[in-house]
Amino acid sequence: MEIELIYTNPEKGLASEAGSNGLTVAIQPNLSTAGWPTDAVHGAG
Amino acid sequence: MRFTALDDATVVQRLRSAGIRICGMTGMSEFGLGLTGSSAGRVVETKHADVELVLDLMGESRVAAVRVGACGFKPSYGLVSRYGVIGLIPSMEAVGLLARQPRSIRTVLGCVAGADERDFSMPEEPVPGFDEEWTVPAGTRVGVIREACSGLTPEQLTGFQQGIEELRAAGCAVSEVSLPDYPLFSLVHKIVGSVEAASSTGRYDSVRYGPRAPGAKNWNEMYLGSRGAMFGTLVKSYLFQGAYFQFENYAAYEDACRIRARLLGQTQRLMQEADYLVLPCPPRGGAEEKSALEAVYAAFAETLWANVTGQPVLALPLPGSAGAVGGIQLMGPRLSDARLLALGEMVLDRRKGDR
Repeated sequence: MEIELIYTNPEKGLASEAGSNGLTVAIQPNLSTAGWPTDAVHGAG
Repeated sequence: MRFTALDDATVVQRLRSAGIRICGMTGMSEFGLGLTGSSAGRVVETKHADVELVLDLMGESRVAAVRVGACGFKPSYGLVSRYGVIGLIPSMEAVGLLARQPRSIRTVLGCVAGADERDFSMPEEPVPGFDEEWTVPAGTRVGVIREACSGLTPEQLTGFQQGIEELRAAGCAVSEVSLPDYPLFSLVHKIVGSVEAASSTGRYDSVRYGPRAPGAKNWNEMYLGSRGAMFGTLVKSYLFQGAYFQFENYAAYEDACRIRARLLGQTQRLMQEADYLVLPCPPRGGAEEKSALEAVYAAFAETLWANVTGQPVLALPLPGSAGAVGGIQLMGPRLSDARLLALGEMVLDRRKGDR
């Protein structure tokens, strides 16, 4: 899973675990998420 | 830059409120422009996520989707809040969605769409319902844009025609429509988009935003050195172009804005002749990942229209091996997003033999 993501949600639960409505969504770093990095690539900067 | 966001974008906030799990972030191109260095679509292809959100500036969500055999959708302009989105071309970009099924896109879009008082570019208008199961009536008029097929290879044309046949077999009334000004979408996007990008990135001056290059002796050196080190080749060429039109040839920018208004009027007239317009979304064999501006524009030639006019557009993969044959784009009138996705669902269900 981690191969596909440059940043994995640190909140409890498996990365591949779906939410309460059964869907899992991936986003890109240009969608601000509090506390998450905004770098476009892993380890940028 | 190692910067962490201070607040959630409205889209992120709404996903969380709806109980949708955000599994993480995927790699993207610089500012989301083009697909250079982007892994868009891979997480959906490998089924590690049901939906991926990708900023669509010139067709990125659709091109990335069809190259992995998935569906890509750009919503109507102003339907989804851009508050908290680190954007580049404010009048053309939208939060795009990729998924293996249009149904998943519809579910997520239903959660994130709608007015947001923090996004001042959003019009106050009723949001179409996304819960209702739309039925697509037989005889839905579909117009194939004649001019959009001219740049296709014989193999791409055959694949595109197969997609049109699927629509015909589903009961759609297919006809050919013409837009002689079609080549102007690229020109307008290039001029207006680059000027907006140059303006949007003005804040990255290493004082308010962005890293600061060391060793500068004065403010000017610091500004030039930092911006020179900060941006990649593609974005730099785009910003140079935007600065040229902004400061050296503003008349061309004004002309481009006038042509854009004319193209919007022509699009609205075409939407009287057909319920949906059809365009190809051919495979580019990696050209969408180039860092030369002209090559990127050539790779996205068929997807720029919807960004210029703000129409909703759905790209569906054509039958065949993933990515090899490309896709077909269905574009509808503003706020026809739910119906457009229903049409896509019907086409894919028929392909599987479900309808």
